[in-house]
Formats: sequence, structure tokens, C-alpha cells
Amino acid sequence: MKTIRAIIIACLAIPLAITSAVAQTAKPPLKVGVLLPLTGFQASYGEMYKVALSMAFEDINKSGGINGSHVELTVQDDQGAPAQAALLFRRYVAEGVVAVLGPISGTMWETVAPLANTLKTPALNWTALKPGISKKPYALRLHPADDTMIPEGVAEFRKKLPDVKRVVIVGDQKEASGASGVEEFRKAAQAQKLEVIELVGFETRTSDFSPVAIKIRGLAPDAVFLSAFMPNTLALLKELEAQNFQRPILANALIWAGAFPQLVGALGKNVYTIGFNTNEPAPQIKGQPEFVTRYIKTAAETTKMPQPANVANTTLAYDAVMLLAQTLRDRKIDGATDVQKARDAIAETLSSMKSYSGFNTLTMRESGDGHIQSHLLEVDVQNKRWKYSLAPIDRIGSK
Amino acid sequence: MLAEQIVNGIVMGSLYALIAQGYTLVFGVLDKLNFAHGEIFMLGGYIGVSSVALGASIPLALLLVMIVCGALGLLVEFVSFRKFRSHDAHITSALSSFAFGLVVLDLVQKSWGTEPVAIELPQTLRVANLEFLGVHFSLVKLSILGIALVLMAALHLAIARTSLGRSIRAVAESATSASLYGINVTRVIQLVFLLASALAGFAGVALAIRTGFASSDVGFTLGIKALAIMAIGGMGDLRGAFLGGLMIGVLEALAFQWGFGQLADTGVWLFMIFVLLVRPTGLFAARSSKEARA
Repeated sequence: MKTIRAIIIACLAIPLAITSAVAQTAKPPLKVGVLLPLTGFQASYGEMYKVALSMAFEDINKSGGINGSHVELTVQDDQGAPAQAALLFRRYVAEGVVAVLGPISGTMWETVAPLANTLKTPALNWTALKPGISKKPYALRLHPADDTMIPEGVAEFRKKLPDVKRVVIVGDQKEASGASGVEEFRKAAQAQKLEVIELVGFETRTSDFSPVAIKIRGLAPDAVFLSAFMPNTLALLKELEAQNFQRPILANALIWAGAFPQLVGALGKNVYTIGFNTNEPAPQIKGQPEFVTRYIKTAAETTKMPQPANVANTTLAYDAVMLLAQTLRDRKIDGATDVQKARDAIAETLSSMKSYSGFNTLTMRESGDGHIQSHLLEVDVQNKRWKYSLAPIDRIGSK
Repeated sequence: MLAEQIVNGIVMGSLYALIAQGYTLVFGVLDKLNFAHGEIFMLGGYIGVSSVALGASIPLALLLVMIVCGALGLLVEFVSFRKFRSHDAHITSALSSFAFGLVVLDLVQKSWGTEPVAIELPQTLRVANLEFLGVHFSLVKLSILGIALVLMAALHLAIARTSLGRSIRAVAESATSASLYGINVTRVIQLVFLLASALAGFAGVALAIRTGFASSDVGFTLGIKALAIMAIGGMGDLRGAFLGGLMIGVLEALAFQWGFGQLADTGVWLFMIFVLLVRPTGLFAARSSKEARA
């Protein structure tokens, strides 16, 4: 009986003693908030970035956290709605996060970037495309904006298809990235001396694209420049096929990320996009082949994303976390640091940063946006992934 | 090109009309809005796409969808309307059906994911392979238009000419009076939900076939548009829902043709506001809405 009692006491006492010891030595956690659309129109994008962000935070915590603090990640669903994103951003600020990752789309980033500066809380974006909406020092975007991506992509498109002379520009005029893509395509076409026959606009929630397809066919362009999210692009491609329209289509990076190459099937044979990474291993980038393999495996195990998952700019989502972690380490910030001092220090470091090398090598522009040399990509229909359209030697900006 | 846009608008409008008629049927009988209707329409698309993927023929898939969605309509009636029939329960039933719709949406996204799911059809069906007076048609579009028109005509005849239709009209006029005449009001209401949801299911598959995808987004986008169409056509008026649907389909197509595509959705709402301002009972409800249902 005494033995049993001793065992029970030991069972209760040992965990208590361990907990007590840990409590005395461990620092409070560092809180980081993430805003992603996990429901609604952009939910598939949210899902893909959540995988990459979780991988990054898992890696950080496995290697001992940051300056002795475990990193506590909270993910909230902004539903792809700017008002919801702003509301959740305020909630994160009240909860004491040191930084917020996201929101992802141009419309939401445009709403949250000024708020980040007002509330003096750093926000990092790795996806939005609309130029001129980042606000230093607290709201920085690592992703290149369409004002660099589209000119670079159109230049390579011209190199690939020199016979294209007349284009129609089609785009989502409601979403910020969609509308800005239309404008940047117009400027890039002008710079490349292409005739723009007409701009054809639609709204994000347009469900019937047959009028758009009929209109495009009637204009008989050599190619179409398209700025729209993946669901709209897929629907438009179906309708263009129904109209027997078989001209090349160059879309901006709105379809580069997401499940487009897995879902488009044979319809993708004339589709190009602009991006800076594919599922193809890039052995010259340390860790990229391993990241690609791991990302695809993790996405297959933890999500319903079509397989093989499209890596695209998830590498930049991972880089964003690692950049934040490096900043926290460099500024010796841990969970015990005064939250506002930590936020100010992060903003100071990031806004004065000139370049960063992770899976991607980026330089920071005065606008608060990153620049990464982008290239023309096309659908590898057989392998359901993007591939570079030009050989390395023909790509603009290649060394 | 203009003629092609108009024909195309009529095809899309016929789908709008099918969904709007579902709202109208329920509203006509209960004087309440069924906010789960849009999501049942959306679910129809997914069941249809999955049935075809599993080897079912399109007619079989349509039949299956109409049965499943009809049954789901019965469930909506039981869960969200049966206990809330009194006139002061508008908000309760609206909230309950809205929540029901959200549950359907969530289950769809958990089952099929958030990406659109493609339907595999032979290319001969997808591509515009018929031409008449310079207007291009695809077999799919013509078939959808044809079946939708037949379904709506059948519904109209059933309401106008059959004893079942008379029962529905009697309940729409006054459930209390109808019950005094020996009509089983609950059965009639169940039938209305069954019909409305089966039509929505058909429209869901038809849209998936027409666009090539089932998408979880359409329950909200098209569902809410169908509500506007019901208001434009006349609340509770089947003919109004039909004509309103066709009108909106054609107006949207013309908006794209004339370069106002980005305003197509906004245009629907502005049009609805305008119609309600100048004709609160809707464009095609000649008398008061209650009378128009009879």
C-alpha cells in the first residue's frame, strides 16, 4: 500500500517539479499573427501559404525558438475581406503580437498597410501585386509589384512570340491587384510597341465569362493579356475554348500561385504567366530542392490542395518568416521585450534593409516593395506544374 | 456578335430564372425567404460533377441531383421553417436557413476543397459547333436553355392547371383558409421546398456543365443575384422571376459587349433599386404581390 502511495505521489510530483523548473527558466513566447483567407473566394491561396508558414515556424521552434523564446503563431481567417483583415489586425495589435504576416491580396494589403503604420505594428506581405500600396516603415512587401513583374514578363513574352502585334487586355477591375495588373499591362504593351485593341473588364465575382469570351473572339487579337484570379481565369479559359479561341494568353502572377497548373489541364497549353520560382528543383539555391519536396509532401498530407502542390511564391512566404526571425535575433528581441519597443525595432531594421537572400534573392525598393527578377513561365501540362518558358541563357536579366 | 451575346444572355438568364423561381415558390407560399436556396444550388453542381466523374451519364446525374437537392429542400423546410410559420418569424426562419446554407457551404468545402472542381465533358459538347445566321451555338448551351424552358413551363402548368397547383395557390393565398378546405398545408409546403430545391439542383449542374466547373462561390454570387431578380420580377411571381432572369442575363451580356463588364454586377443592384423605387411590386407583378401569386 505504501509503495502504491509513493508511486502516486511521485507521478504527481515529478511533472509538477518539471513544470515549475521550466516556468522558472523559459521566457514568455514571442507572438506573431498571420492573416490569411481560409474561407471564401481566396481560401485556396490561404491554404497554400499556411503550409509554408507553418513549416517555417516549425523549423524555428525546432531549432530552439528565438533568443530563448518559443514563437507562438496565431492564424486568423480574414475571409479575403479588407474590413475583416483590418479588424483582425487591430485584434492582433491588442493581443501583443510583435508583427503580422499578411494579409495577402492587394485590396487587403492596401487597407492594412496604412493601419500598420497608424498602430505602429510591422506587417509583412509576400504576395500582393498592386504597386504603390506598401507604406514604410511598418508595412513592407517582399514580393515584387506588377510594375516590375509585368514589364519583365511582357519583355520575355515578346522574345518568345515575336509575331504578336495586337493584344486585348482583360482583367478583374474590382480587386486591387487585378485592376493594377490591367494598367501595368497597358503600360508594358505600350513600351513594347504593341497595339492594345481594347481593355475588357469584369468583376471578381463574375460567374459567367461567355460574354467576355465572345467579346475577345470578336476583337481577333494576336494575344490576350490577362489580370485575374485563378477561378476567373479558369472559367474564362473554358469559355474561350468554347469559342474556338486559341491565341496565347499571358496572365500576371495572380495565377502563378495557387492550383492553376493542376486544374487547367489541356486548356493550359497556350497560357503563360510571370513568376520567379517553379516546382523544378533549382540546385543553385541552397535548400530549394529540399523545400520543394517537403512542401509538396506536407501539402499532400495536411490539405486537400490538388497535387502536386504548386510551390510558386510559397518560398517567399517561408523567406518572410525567416527574415522576421533573423531580425528578432539580430535585435535581441525575445518574449520578455517590451512589445512596442520590439515592433519599432523590427520596423527600423526591415525598412532600412537593402537586400535579403533566402530561397529568393531580393532587393528592397524605396517604395517598400521587394524586387526579384521575374520570368515568363508556361504550363507543363503533363507534369501539372509551371516551367520556365525560355532557356536560362535567353531569360532577361540572367547572368 | 451582338446577336450571339443576346442568345448567350438568354441561356444564362434561364439559369438565373430557375434559381429565382425557387426563391419565388417558397416566398409565394410562406412569405419568407429561404437563404439556404443558393447553397443548395451550389451543392447541385458538386453532386453533378462527382456523379459524372464516377461514370454517370449527364441525364442520370441531373436526375440524381434533383432527387438529392429535393430531399435537402425537405430538410431545410423541417429545420428552418416548420416551427417558424407565424408571420412574426421572418427573421428567425431567415437566420435559420442562412445558417443551414453556411453549414452546406462548409461541408462542401471540407468535402471537395475550396478549388473549383472541373467536369470532364467531350470537346464536341463544350465547343461552339453550330452556326445559324452567323451566331455560334454550343450543344450544351442549347440543351441547357431547352431543358430549363421545359422545366419552367412544366412548373407554370403544374401551378396553373393541376389540383396540386391549386393547393399551392390556396396555401399561398391563406394557409388557414386552405386548411379549412381540407388541404394538408404541411404537405403543400414540403412539396414547394422539394420542387424549389430540385430546380436549384438542376440549375447547379447546368451551370457546372456550362462553365466547366463546380465552384463553392456560386451559391452566394448567383444566389444573391437570383434574389435581386425575384425582386425585379415581382416578389412571389413565377412569371416575373422567369422574365426577370432572362432580362438580367441579357443585360449582363450586353454590358460586356458595350464595355461595361466591370459594372455588370453593380448594374443588377442599381437596376433592382430603380425598379423597386418606381414599381415596388416588381416589373411583372401587375397586381399586389399577394394577388399575383394566385
